[in-house]
Amino acid sequence: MSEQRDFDVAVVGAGHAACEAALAAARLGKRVLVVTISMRHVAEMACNPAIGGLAKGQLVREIDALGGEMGRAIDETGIQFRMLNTGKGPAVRSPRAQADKGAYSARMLRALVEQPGLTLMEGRVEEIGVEAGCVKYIGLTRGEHIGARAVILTTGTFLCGRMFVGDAVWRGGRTGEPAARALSGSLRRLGLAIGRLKTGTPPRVDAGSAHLEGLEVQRGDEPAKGFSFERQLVSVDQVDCHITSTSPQTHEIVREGIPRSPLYSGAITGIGPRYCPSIEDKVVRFADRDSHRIILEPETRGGASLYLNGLSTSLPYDIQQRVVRSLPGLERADILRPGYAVEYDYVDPRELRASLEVRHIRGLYLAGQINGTSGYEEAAAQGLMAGVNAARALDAVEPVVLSRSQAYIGVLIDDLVTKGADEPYRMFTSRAEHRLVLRHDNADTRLSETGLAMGLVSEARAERARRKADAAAREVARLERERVVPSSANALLGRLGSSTLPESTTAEKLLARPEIGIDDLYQLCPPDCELPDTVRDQVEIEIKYRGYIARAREQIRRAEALDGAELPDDVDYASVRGISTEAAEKLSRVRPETVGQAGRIPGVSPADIGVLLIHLKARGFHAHGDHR
Amino acid sequence: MEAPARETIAAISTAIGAGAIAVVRLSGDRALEIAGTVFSGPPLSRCDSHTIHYGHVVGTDGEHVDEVLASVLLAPHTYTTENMVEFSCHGGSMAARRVLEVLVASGARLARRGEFTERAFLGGRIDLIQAEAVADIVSARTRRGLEVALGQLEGGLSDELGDLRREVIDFRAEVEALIDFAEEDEGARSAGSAVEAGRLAVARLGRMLRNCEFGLVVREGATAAIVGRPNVGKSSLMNALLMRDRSIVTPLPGTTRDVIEEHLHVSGVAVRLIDTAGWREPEDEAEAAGVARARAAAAGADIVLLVVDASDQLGDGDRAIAAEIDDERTLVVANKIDLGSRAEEGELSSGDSAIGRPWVRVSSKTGAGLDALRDAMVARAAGGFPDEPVLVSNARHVTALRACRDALNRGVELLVRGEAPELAAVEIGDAASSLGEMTGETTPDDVLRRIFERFCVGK
Repeated sequence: MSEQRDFDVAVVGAGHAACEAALAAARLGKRVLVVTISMRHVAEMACNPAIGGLAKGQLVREIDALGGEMGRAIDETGIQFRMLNTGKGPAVRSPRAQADKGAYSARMLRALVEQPGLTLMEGRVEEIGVEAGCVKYIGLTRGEHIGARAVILTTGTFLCGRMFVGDAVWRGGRTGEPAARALSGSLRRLGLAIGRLKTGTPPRVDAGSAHLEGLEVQRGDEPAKGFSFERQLVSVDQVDCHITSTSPQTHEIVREGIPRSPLYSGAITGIGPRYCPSIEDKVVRFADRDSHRIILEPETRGGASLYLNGLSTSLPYDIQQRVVRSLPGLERADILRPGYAVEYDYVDPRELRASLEVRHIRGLYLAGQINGTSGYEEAAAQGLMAGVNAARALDAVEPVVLSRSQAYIGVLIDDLVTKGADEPYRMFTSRAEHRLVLRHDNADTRLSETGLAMGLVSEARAERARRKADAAAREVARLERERVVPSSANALLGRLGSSTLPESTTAEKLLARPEIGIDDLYQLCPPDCELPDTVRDQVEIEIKYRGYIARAREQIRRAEALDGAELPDDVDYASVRGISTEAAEKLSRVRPETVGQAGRIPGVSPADIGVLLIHLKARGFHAHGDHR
Repeated sequence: MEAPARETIAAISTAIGAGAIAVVRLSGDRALEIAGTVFSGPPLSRCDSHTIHYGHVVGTDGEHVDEVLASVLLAPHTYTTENMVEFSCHGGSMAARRVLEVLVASGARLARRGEFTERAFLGGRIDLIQAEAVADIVSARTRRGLEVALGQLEGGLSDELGDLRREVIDFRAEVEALIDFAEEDEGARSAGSAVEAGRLAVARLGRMLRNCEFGLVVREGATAAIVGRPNVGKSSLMNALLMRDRSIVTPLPGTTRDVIEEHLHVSGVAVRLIDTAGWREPEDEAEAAGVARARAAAAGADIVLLVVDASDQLGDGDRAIAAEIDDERTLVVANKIDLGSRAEEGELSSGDSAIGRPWVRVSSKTGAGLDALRDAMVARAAGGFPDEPVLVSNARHVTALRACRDALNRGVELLVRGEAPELAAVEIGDAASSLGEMTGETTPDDVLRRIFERFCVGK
C-alpha cells in the first residue's frame, strides 16, 4: 500500500459535477486531483446538446452567481440562445442554449488544465479507502493508492453501467466507454445504500443525410442573452433547430419493435424518468396521440450530427433505423449512433448531509447522477457545492448550505437529502415553493454575497450585484413617490387600452397594471438617470408581483425560522413516545439537520414534529432557540 | 422555531353546547393586537395583566357579534406563557363560534388540537411529568389524523373530500403543466382547461360548504344567484323580488355586465340576491369577465334561480345553462308569463341532464307567482340544511374549506383575466394547504405525478 502522492481533494469522474467541484476546490486553494476513465470526455454532453431550460436555466445562473464555471462555458460555446416561457411571468422564464458539445467539452477541459493546483489523470478508481470513519485514499485499478483528505464521487452513469439497444446488452457508461464496476462494491462495503436507475438517449443522425428544407425552423433570440452575469449579451452567429414529427406509420413501427424493447421485456429494472419518456412509452401510454414532436438539434456548429430530441429509445437498431426514416426530413437519414438506455447504480441521497458529505464517512462527498439526479445543470450545482464544502471542511469551516428560499440549488439538495430519489430527479419550477423570488434575473443579487463569502466571487462582482439591487430599490422608491396626473397620462392610457385616471396617482400604481409596461411608464415619468435593462427588469418585476412577493417573503420568514432550529445528531427516534412508527422510521433514515427539514420528510406530520419538540424539550434540548 | 411557535392561535376552550358561558381563547404575540381590533371596549393593548373588560366583539363588517367579557393575561404568567386574551361569550355554540370566526378573519389561526397545552409545556408552564400525557394528546392527531378529521364532517362529506383533493391536484397539475412544460408538452395546454378544472373544484366546494354551513346560512343568509340567457328578465325579477329598481333594466340584451347584490328577507330567512350577467358567447372582454363572474356566483350560491323566458320557446342557450348548473340547488323560474306561455317544462329535461327541478311561473311585471317563488326559495334553502347544527369542532374545517374555495376562486379569476399562471399557482397552493389539514398535504410530487399521468410531456 504505497501512497505515492497526496492530494487535498480527489474528484472521481470528469463530468459536469466533477468540473465544478474540482475548479471550486482548487480555486479555494486546495490541491485537487481529477481522475477520469477517459480524458477525452471531460464535461461531455452525453444526452441533449443544450444547457439550461425551465428551472435548469435558473440553476445555471445561480452556479454563475456563486462563482461556478458552467455559465461562462456555455456563453462561450453556445450556438443558439433562447429565453423560454416569455409568454408567462418573469419568475418562470428561463434561458436555454444549444451548445457546440465539442467546443463546450474543450472549453471545460481548458479550464481544468489552466487551473493552478489542479491535476488531471486517467485512471479507474475501484476503491474508496476509509479509516476510522474518515476518507484516506482512492485505490486505482492496479492497486495503486492515492492519498486524499477528501474525495468527491461524480460517477454519472458509469457505476455498474449497463447499456441496452434492443436485445443487445453490454457493460458501459456511455457509448464506447467502459463502466466502473468495482467501485460500486467498495461503496456497498462502506455501508452505503445503493439503488438502480435508468435513463436513455435518442439516436444521432448524420446531418448530411437529412433534408431539413421545408421543416419548421426554431431560431435563437436576437440579441442572444447569455447565462453569465459577467456579460449578458452574447455575440454569436446562431444556428437553427428544425422540428419534425412522428406519424401513425412511425408508431406502427415502434409497436412492432416493442416485444424486443428491453423496457418492455423486463431486462431493465432501474426506474427511468417519467418526464423524459421513451418513444416506446409515448406510443404505448398515449395511444390516442397520432403524432409527437421531434426537434432536430445540431450537436456542433456546422456539425455532422443531429440529436433527435423527443425520440429517446432503446429499441433494436433495425427498428430505430426504420423509425428515424419514417420522419419527414429524415427519409434517407443514416444513424450515426443508436439511441440506448443505460442502467446504473446510485446512492440513496438520504445518506448525505446537506453539505453533500456522506453522513457517516467524513471527507466523502457525492455529487451528480450518483445522487439520483438527472441533468448537467443539477449535476454541476451539486458539484460546485460539494467542491466548496469539501474545501471548507479541510479548513475546519462550516459548510455552505443554501436554503430553499435562497436558491434552486437549495431546493435541489434539500429535496435529495430529505426525500431521496426514486426516479432520476430533475428540477422543475414547481418544486420551488418560493419560485416567485427564485428567478433567473436576480440570481446575482440573491447569491453574490454568498459567492463572495465562499471565496469564489470577486469583490468587484459582488459590488456590481449590490449596486444593481440598490439602484432597483431606489427606483422602486421613486416610483412610489412620483405622482402622475390625468392630463399627462390619460392619452397614453387610452392608447394602451388602460382605464383613464380620474385623479392623480403614483407611478407605482400605474406600473402595477398588467397592461402597462415600464417603458410605457417612462414616457410619463422617465428615470432620473439612464437605468440598465437589468435594473429596469427588477423594478418592473418587484412592482408587478408586489403582493405576491410580499406573501412569498412572509412564507420565507416562517420557513427560515424552522430551518434555523437545528436538531441534534443523535436523537433515538424509535424511543420517542407518541410519534408514529412511520415517522420514526423516516426520521431515523434521513436524520434531519433542522426542524424545518424534519417537517418536509414525507410521512412526518406536523403532529409528529410537535411530539418531537416536546420530547427534545423534556431532554433539556432547546430546539426552540430562544423560546424562553 | 421562534416565529411559528408564537403565531397567534385561537380556539373555543369550553365544552361544546354546554354551560351558560363559552370561552374563546387567544394566545400568541399578536393576541392583544388581534383581540383589540375586534373588541369595542377599552383598548386591550393598554390594559393591565389579569384584568377583565366589558364590551362587544364586532365583526369585520361592523356588525355586533356578541356581548362579551375580555380577560387580558400578559406573558409570562399565563397558561401558555404567552400573551393571552380570553373572551367570555354567551353560551351555546353559535356565539362562541362567531367570535372565533371573527378572530380568525382578523389574523389568528385556529389552534390545532392540544396546541395550547403544547405551548404551555414548551413554555415550561407544565412540569415535565406531564410531558408524556401531552405527547399522547398531540400524537392522537397523528394516529387518528385523517379519520378523525374526515369523521367530523357530516353528511357524507368524507368521500367528497377525497374527490375534492383530486380535483385540486388536477387544477394544480393543469397550471403547473402550463408553466413547467410549456416547451415540452405536445398537447399545447391552454389556460382554458385549467380554468375548467378549477371551476370543477370550486363547484364541489360550494356544494360541500352548503352542507356544513348551516350556521353561516342563518347568519349571513342564503345566497341566491339569478342566472340565465341575456334578456330573459333576470334584472326585472331581482327588482320585483326587491320591489324596487336596483338593477338597470333595459330591453337590450347584455345590460348587466357585472354582478349586482342586494339583501332581502324571505319568510324570515336572510337572502343575499345576486343578479348576474347573461350567459352567452361574450362579445368583448368586459362581457367575458361578467360571464365568468356569473359562473362563479352560481358555483358559490345556495340557491340558483335559472330564469327562462316563458313567452318564448326554450333554446339551446337555456339548455346549456341548465346542464351546467344541474343540481339540487336549482329553481327554474319561467318569467314573463304576462307575455304568453310557450315554454314547456319538459323542454329542459332533455337527455340525461335531468332537470326535474321545481318550475315556478312568474311575471316580474304583474307580480304573479312571486309568492310561490319565495316559498320555493325558502324550501330550497332550508332543504339544503342538515337537521342538526354542525358541531363547533367543525369550525376548523368550515374555515379551511372556505379558505380553499376563496383561494381557488382567486386562482380561476387570475387565469380568466390572463394573468401569469404562476400567480394562480400561488393561490392554488394556498388552497391546497387549506385542505392539507383534512386531507393530508399535497406535495409537488403529487402534482408532478398527475402531470406525468395525464400529459405527454418530456424530451
